[in-house]
Parts: sequence; C-alpha cells; structure tokens
Amino acid sequence: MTFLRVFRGRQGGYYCFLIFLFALALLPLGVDRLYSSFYLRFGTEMLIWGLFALSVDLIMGYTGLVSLGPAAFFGLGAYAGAITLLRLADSIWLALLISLVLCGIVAWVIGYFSIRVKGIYFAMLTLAFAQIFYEIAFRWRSLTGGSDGLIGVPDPTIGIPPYTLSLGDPYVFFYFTLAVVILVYFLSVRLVNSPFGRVLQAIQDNEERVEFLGYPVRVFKRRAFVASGMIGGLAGMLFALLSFVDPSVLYWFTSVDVLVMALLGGLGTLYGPIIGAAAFLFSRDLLSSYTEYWRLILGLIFVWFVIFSPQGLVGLYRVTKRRLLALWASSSMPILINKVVDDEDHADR
Amino acid sequence: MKTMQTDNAILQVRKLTRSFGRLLAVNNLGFELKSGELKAVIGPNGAGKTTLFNLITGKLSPTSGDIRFQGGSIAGLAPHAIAQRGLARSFQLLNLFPNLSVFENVRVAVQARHRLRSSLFTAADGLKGVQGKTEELLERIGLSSYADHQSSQLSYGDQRSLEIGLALATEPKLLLLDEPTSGMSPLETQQTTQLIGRISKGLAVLLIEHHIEVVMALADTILVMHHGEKIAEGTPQQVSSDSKVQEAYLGGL
Repeated sequence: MTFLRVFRGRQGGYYCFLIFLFALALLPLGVDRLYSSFYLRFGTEMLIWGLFALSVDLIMGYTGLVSLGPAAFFGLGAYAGAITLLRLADSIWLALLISLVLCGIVAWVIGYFSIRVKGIYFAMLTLAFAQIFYEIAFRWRSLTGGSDGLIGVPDPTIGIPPYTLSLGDPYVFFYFTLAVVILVYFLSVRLVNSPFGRVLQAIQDNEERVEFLGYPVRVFKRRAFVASGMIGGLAGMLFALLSFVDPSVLYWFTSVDVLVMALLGGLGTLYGPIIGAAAFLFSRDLLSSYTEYWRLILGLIFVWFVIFSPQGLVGLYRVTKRRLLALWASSSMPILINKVVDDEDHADR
Repeated sequence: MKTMQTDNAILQVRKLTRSFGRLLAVNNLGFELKSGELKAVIGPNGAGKTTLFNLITGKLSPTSGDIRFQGGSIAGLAPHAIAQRGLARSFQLLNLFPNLSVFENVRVAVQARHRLRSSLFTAADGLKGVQGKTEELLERIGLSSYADHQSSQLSYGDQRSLEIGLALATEPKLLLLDEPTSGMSPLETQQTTQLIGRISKGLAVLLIEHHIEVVMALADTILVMHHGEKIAEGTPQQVSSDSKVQEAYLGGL
C-alpha cells in the first residue's frame, strides 16, 4: 500500500516512549494524593488500547495490510476470556490460553479468505468478518447475553495459593497489564527485526518482488495477520477484566478508534501506537468533559495530523526536535549540532 | 517431429502457447537452454518476449505446452515456488524495494536461500552467512559504497545494477534478464554489458535485449521471435545472416 509509506519512520522518539512507560509505572503512587483512583483505571485502559493499537501496527505499519476489522479479535478475545471465567474455570491462564488460541485460529481463517485480495477489497472483507462476529454476539443470547452483555465475570487471581493476588484489585491489575504490554512490546520488536519481520517490511515495500525472490507472500502475510489477531485478542481479554463486555467491543467503532490511535501515534514504530492510544483517550476524556461533540474535535485533530504530520505524534516530535536543533545550530556551534542531527538520523535499529 | 533433447539442458520449453483472447502472444514456441549458456531473446516490440519471461517465471500460466527446469515441469507453478527452485529474474522496469537501504534490498534477497528465512525471533542481522554474502554481492555489482543509501536515491544506472543484484542474490541456476540496459546512456550500457559478462560465467542466462551490440558481445546463441513465434535460432553469425530475421526487422518495424 503505497499511501501507507508516508506514515512510517523509525528513528527518534524511542526514549520518549521509555520515559512515558516509566512515568506510567509510577502512576499508582499518586492515587488519593494527587488524583482519584479513577486515573489508575484510566492508565490501565490506556495500556490495553495501546496493546490493541500495537497489534494494528504490526499488519498496517510493517506489512502494509489495512484491516478495517481489528475489532473482531479484540471482541473475540474479550468474549472468550469472559465466558471462560464465567462458565469454565476461574483461571486467568486458562482464559488467556483460550482467547489466544481462538483468536489465532479465527485470524488464520479470516486471513485465508481475505489475503487473497488486496487493498480496498481486503479492507472490506475484514470489516465484513468483524460485523459477522458483532451480529453473532448480538443474537446468540444464551452464550453472550446479547445486548445486555456478560454480567458477573469473576475476578481471577494470579500466583500460587496461598500467595495470591486478585486481579480485581486495581493496583494489581494495573501492574499486570503493564507487564503484559512491556512483554508483548519487546517480543514485537524482536519479531519485526527477525528474518520474518524483515520480509514483512519488504512485502510492504514491493510485494511482487518478494514473491519473485522465492518467498510465499500470502503465507507471510497470513502469519503476520495471525500474530496481530492474537495480540488484539490479548488486549480484548484484558479489557474484559477491566470493563464490561457487550457487543460494542465488536462494533466497527472499535476498529475505527484503534486505527485512529495507531495513526495518531505513528505507524511503523510499535511504540507510537501505544502513545497514540494514550493521547486519544486523554483527549477524549478532556474534550468530553466540555462537549458531547468530542468526536468532532478529535476528528479535526486527526485530519490535521494526517495532512501535516503523517507520521503521527512520533513524526511530529522528530520534526520539531530537528527544527529546534537546526535553529540552535544556525545561531551557535554549528559543527557539533550537525553531528547530533546526523546521529539522530542513523540512530535506532 | 523429433524433439531435440540434450542431457545438459537446464531449461526446455516445448510447444509453449499463451493466448490473450484471440491474440497468440506466444505461439507454439520451443527451445532449449544448456547450463552455462547465454541465450539472447530478440525480436520487434510485441514479439512476445516479456510474455515468454512471465510464463517461465510463473507470473502467467501457459495456455498449453510445457516448461521444464532441471528436468521437472514448472509450467503454471506460483512465482515463489519457481524462484525457490533456482530461477531468478530481473525486471524491465525497476522493481526494487525503494524505501529500504541498498544493503537491506540485497540482504532480504540473500535471506531467501537461508534455512531460517522465516524464523520469528532470531535476529535478522545475525543470520549466519547472510551478512557476508550480501557484502560480497554488493562488491560484485559495484555498489558497496552505497550500502547505507536508500535504494531510491541511487542513480538510474545503479538501480539497474541493483535490480540484477537482487536476482543474483538468490543464487539462481538460471537467470532471466529482461532488458537490463533499457533507458541507459551509452556509457551505462557499456558498464552493464561488462557486469553481465562478469556475473554470467558458468550461469545459464536468458537475456531480452534491444541493443544489438550488447547481444553480439554477450550471447552464445540467439533466439529471434516475431508475432509470438520463433523465426530463427542459432549462433549470432547464423542469425544475423538469416533472411527471415532481416525481413522481420526491416519489414516489421
């Protein structure tokens, strides 16, 4: 997808992300001192959506697959996790296992049919599949509770008895989520720098040539789609523990929100979408306290980004930093600063 | 009719036909390529040369006929499956990875032959042998000093060299070059001719080329196509004295 290329970019911004994570890890310390416990829950929500946006980046920022149906996996993971906890066993690990395996299988099947076609046709097929799951969740009342959603999902525990912690405790759940996000982030970094990941990036750049080098392109795309679907499902599973599961997790609004988050943060960086998710939720929270038309304002902000900073917040940061450095360089110490700018260009990876 | 069959033929094309609607782009074509041989495919525009390449490399499926590579039929296989057997091509129009570095362009091509080419959690930059081979290949195609450049920043001539380099990086047994000198200045054409001469030693090559001096300098044999059919085949001397060839070129253009 040619138009996606402008959204990519790698250098810089990474340290900001580490600072962001570190600051977020300190969030629980301020509860009841600086702010209410609502913000602990809010931080957890940011992390979960960040994880979901990261899953989108894997296929959109690194493989060039634009899916309009990521909600399918988020919702499936949420339902599978919640139903496991309600009906099967009160075990977070079993719920995680079932969510991941189910999302992996479903992603493989959706990928098998959708990846045969490209571009807009692929996008529409993924959207259609997601809507099918939405309908199922809506109609299959005995399993999903229909439009009422799933009520009374128990809070699982982690640890070995008698040393257990309940994930119903917002502090425990926050750190649990943070650990999952950091783990998945570093696994994803590993993935995109693996031989497999490099082929994905080559596919994004020129699919035909990859095929003629002897790589089965469809198989590679499908595997990326499966990895993305499983991470999306993991995010959904965590969301089920944080919040309430009803068919809206499968609705296409969910897909659009996560796509906006990923683009807002900056595709092709893995950490950009996590920052994008935080920025999106923060803006929503801020704007919705003033107006019910928060989507309108957020939409305008999004339009501004797509036109003027297609690499999202990460790109905006890089450009601003370069301009400031250049400005400073033109007034003093030109040689030294040119070197810094240069290093920044070649840093990372 | 007796079919010619030699033991050392790496590629055998038999009664190959491809039609687009009523147009026969390739019509009942047959020829063989020996290992180590460089055969040039020439003919006026629209003669079916690129269609022939697309059939051999799997971009198109034949309507009828057979293509055998190293004894096995490859007709109608997917491009990646054919490439995996050791058949690589360069493209008439640039077909690179424009946003990747020159090094990464070649590296990902070299990786295609590696056992761990689709491994998920090893480091791509640590694959045994891949870095070394990539450097070696950049040396061969004369692009070592541009390794860190984005490939789209290279000059046109250098991009064409990289195009050949990508095909070469998969360690093919048969190399198909589709107009490697198209759009080049005389100097670049000369350099590319030398490059092809260097890399083709011991390799079977099928070459589509319009510059007749390039063909004469490189080809062991020449296949002349016109309206999808073979009208002549033989050594450069035989072909250039063929009356049908002269007619096709003078009458057909």
